[in-house]
Amino acid sequence: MSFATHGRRPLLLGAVAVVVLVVVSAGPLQVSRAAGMTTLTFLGPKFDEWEAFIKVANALGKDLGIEVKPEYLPWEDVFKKALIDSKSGVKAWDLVYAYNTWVPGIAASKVFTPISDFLSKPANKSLVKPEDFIKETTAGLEFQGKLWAFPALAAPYVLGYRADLLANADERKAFKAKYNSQFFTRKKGDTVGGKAAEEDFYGICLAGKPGGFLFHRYEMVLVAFGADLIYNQTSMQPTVNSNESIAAAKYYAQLHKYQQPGSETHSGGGTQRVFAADRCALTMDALDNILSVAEVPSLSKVVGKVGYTLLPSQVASRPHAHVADANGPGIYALSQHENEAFRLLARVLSTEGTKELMKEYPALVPMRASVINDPQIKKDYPKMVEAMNAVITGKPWTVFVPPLKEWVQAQEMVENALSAALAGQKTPEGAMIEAQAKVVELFKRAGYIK
Amino acid sequence: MTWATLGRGRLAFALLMLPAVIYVLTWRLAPALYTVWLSLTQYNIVYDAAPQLNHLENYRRIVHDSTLGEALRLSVIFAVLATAVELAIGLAAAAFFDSDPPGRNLLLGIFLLPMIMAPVVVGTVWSALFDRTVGPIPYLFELLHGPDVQWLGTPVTAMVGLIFSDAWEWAPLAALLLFSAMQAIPREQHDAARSDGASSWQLFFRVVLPQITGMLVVAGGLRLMDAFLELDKVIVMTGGGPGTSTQLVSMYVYKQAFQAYDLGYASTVITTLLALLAVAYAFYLRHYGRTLMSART
Repeated sequence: MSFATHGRRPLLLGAVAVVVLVVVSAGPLQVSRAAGMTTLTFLGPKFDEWEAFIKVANALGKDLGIEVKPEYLPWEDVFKKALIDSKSGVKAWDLVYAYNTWVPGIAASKVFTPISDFLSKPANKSLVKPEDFIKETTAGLEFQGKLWAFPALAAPYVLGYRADLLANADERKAFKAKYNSQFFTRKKGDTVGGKAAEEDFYGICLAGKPGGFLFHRYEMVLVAFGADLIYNQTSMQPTVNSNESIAAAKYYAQLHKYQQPGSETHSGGGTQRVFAADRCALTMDALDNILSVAEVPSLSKVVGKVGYTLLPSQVASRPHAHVADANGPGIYALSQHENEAFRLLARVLSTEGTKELMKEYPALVPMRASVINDPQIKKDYPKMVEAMNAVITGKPWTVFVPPLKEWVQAQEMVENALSAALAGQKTPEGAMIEAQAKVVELFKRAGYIK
Repeated sequence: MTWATLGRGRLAFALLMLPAVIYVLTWRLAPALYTVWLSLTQYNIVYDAAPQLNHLENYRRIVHDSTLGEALRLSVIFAVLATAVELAIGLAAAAFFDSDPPGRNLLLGIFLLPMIMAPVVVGTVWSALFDRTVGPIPYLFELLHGPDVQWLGTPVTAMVGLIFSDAWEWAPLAALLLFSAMQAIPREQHDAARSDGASSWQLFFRVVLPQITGMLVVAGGLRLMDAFLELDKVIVMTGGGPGTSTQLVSMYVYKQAFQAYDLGYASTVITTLLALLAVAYAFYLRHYGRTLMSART
């Protein structure tokens, strides 16, 4: 058979397919430049809040002659990409998303120009009004006396609980009589809220996926028991096997039997879906995570039924304690438009800009007091305001993860140990003793201890 | 032909060889040598300005790294079991397709689909299938009053889940290779065996299997080496957990390089793995050569 017998049609189709592929693949890489506009690039995760940020930035940036083109990556890849690009001298980015645990690394590798460098100019300072930021929420973005990213989205950890069930004394009494337990786990068909549960109902929903989700929840229990976050920051001695740490591990392990099955592979979003599906009495998560699912009518069966409260602590001097998160966009150190980037951030994350952002992403927890205290905001976002007021007035003992070079490795050692304990491979105590040995070895290698 | 006999053709020979030599040196050898050099350094890409030579410190560390030892053990278990399952399914499927069932080409096309999916998509699909809240597999077990299996929540079942997903993705490759080998066997041999009264089992074990042994070794070798370095599905489905029960060696290297940013130590692990795999590959080639020889005779 010769080529001629096939005719030209396959060749033509092939050529069209190649052209379409080339156009499609090249499309997202193009940076359009409308007349007179400065185009900024944004590198961040494809989360609802950052898509909202881009939308509002493009709307508010018009007056400034600025447009923003986003490039979305998986959350955990954003810092890697910025870091590797920065080390390679790539100047492709202007704005890059930052998470508080990355801040020490950002500072050490000089991936960002600190926001505080811009704030040293009085005009910029009066534009931003940094005194308006809620200190409890922004500290995680600060390191070595500098602010590294523009505060955008606070994420205090809170308990979200089913106020309609847990506040009901009859429900609690009937449950305790049947199961002799304070936790609210019930089987399918048992009565929950006065009617038979359609599915098994769990005491508490927690994200347990390895890679940070599990450890981040466990951190809250560690601080509640008065334990260090892995090591004593003064002596640099690992304390994974301290009495407080082991008590925390044992508590977390026994909590596991009241958790939703499959929690070992659930991220925050997956966990909140279970909570929102009316299958959980309690959840512990970042406030915005809960709000973004449980309070959204299209996603949730429990809208209006959730109460928010601060995480409890056993330490008398600090009845509430948590390890907080903070998120914000930073200015890439190799940006070709850093002044425009700063002006845009100042506009979008101003009081008015934040309010616009909340219209696009109602679960946003603002980092500005002026927004929380705004009467319209109080009216439109009562649950968020209720929870944030609890944070502001309750003044929970707030820590951020320590700025340690080996933090990720140390965290992983403890997380793996806890995960093994939850899976029944080891006892909580045995797992933590093994993890302590590994952390000690890590710290010795790093030269912190002998 | 030797260099001496090339005579005036030496220049042309050298020029013709040049692109291949450049390719091997720049594309293959240089990154490998750079990795070996990095393995002799302390280099945290976040905190260190440049790699600092620390001689054999990383190699000393590797000897005492029990987590790496465990990851290697798990990788071997995963690779051997996944390959065995894939070859078994692939062999059965190849025999089925070789029997020329109606609609063979369509069935073969459908059967091969998982192979062309990105591994990360395969991982996502199987995560959803095993999910306790929305997954059909736990639901099916519940309907059939089967045991309440926490598929990705216990060490054994998480490993089984990973092996299932890998077999689903790659059994088609084994089937394709073995099917092509079966198709190369002259039909006359089937007819002759049949006329001599051979049953289907006898036909398969006495006629077909001996002639596809070489391809079985190829398919097994390819899958073994690939499965040993599995990463994507582990990240998506289990994250290496629970505990470290599914933390295969690639995941361990990934964590060292891209979570701890310890490129020096990650390079040491890669270099050591490369050496181990080179030895394994040499044994494989030697055995493969012997198998081919015996298949021919």
